[in-house]
Amino acid sequence: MNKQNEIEKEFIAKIQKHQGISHKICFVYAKNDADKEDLYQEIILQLWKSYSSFKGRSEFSTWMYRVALNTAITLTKKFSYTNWNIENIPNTYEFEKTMELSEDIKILYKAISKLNKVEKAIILMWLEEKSYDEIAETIGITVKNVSVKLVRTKKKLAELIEKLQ
Amino acid sequence: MANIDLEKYKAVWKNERSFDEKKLSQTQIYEFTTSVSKNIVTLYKKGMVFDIVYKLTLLIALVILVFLTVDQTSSLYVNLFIIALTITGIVWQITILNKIPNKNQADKNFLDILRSYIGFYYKYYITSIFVAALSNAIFFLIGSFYYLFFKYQQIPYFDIDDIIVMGIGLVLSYGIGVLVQIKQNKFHVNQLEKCLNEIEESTITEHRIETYRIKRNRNIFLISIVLLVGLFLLIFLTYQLYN
Repeated sequence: MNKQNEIEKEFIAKIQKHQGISHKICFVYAKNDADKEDLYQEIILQLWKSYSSFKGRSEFSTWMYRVALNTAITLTKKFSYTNWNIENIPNTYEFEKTMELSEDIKILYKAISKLNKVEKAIILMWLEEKSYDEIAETIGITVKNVSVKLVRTKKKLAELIEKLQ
Repeated sequence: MANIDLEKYKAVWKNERSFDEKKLSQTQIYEFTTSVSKNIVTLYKKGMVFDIVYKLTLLIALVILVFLTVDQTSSLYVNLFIIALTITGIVWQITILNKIPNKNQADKNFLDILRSYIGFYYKYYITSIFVAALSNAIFFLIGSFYYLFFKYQQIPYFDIDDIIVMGIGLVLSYGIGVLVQIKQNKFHVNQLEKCLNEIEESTITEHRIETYRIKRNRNIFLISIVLLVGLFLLIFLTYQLYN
């Protein structure tokens, strides 16, 4: 029982330390605070359920990134995250208090929201400066394929940003 | 490419400090670890467990009905047939429940997870929907028998028009259950299929999805035949026993 409590405490401490990863993923995949909280909750739950499989072969943050992205990709909802009106995008992002974001981040947010789920994952990993190998491993495609998809997605993102400016 | 410097946005993203703020306390994180999952596998599981419990309740009601109508040997065969059908349904669903993709899949890659979920849906879950919908038909049948028993203190003999009405009721209760469940689950699976297509964007995915669809249609066809034969057998048995 004590060992279980220790594992739980250790897990919670790690999640709190790296919670920025989950916030970024929720920022990209969810459209409003309610969706964000749902997704955040699901990510924490899936991380906890999979924690026993984390063997420490990679960094905790790398493992967390992968589980959180998988959760965002496979979580299906009645109302799609992507189907929303660009005019109604909230200017703030967080659960409890209002927080101002820079104009550039708001534009990036609006542009990313127009991408599909897989494109969002690719762009997110690119923004986070993940290597091609890591992106390929997370998605399950070849490095060459990552390169092609990244070029295509960046082009689409640039066009969207241009339209929004 | 549009004349946009994406590296500028990348730098802005990297320097955005608000993401790193500790927005959630340890207590809130702990509460999230004990919450109920909303992912598709949990939805499958919850639906199936609920239906197994529902069928078990119907089974108890059926056993009570057998004891209440023990002096009516003619109804015994029909009730025993429904009991056998219900038990078969429960056993089938427990088998499917054990085949639900492993819960510790979250650290696999997108492609493997999506294939695993979609494969499970077409290979097993779609079939289980047909078995789950049996509960509605059985509920309709038991409800009718209880109504007749409490009204006439026995289950009266059925005329041909009674059997037609019962048959229509059975088909409707079963059909509506199937349609509602297929529609609900298909919505979720469509989203996963869309993701799979986005990743592969090739004929390999289309071919795989097409294979799943062929398998699903074949399963639907076979199950429909078996269920129709069962339904006609039930109606025939009822007609023979009550005349």
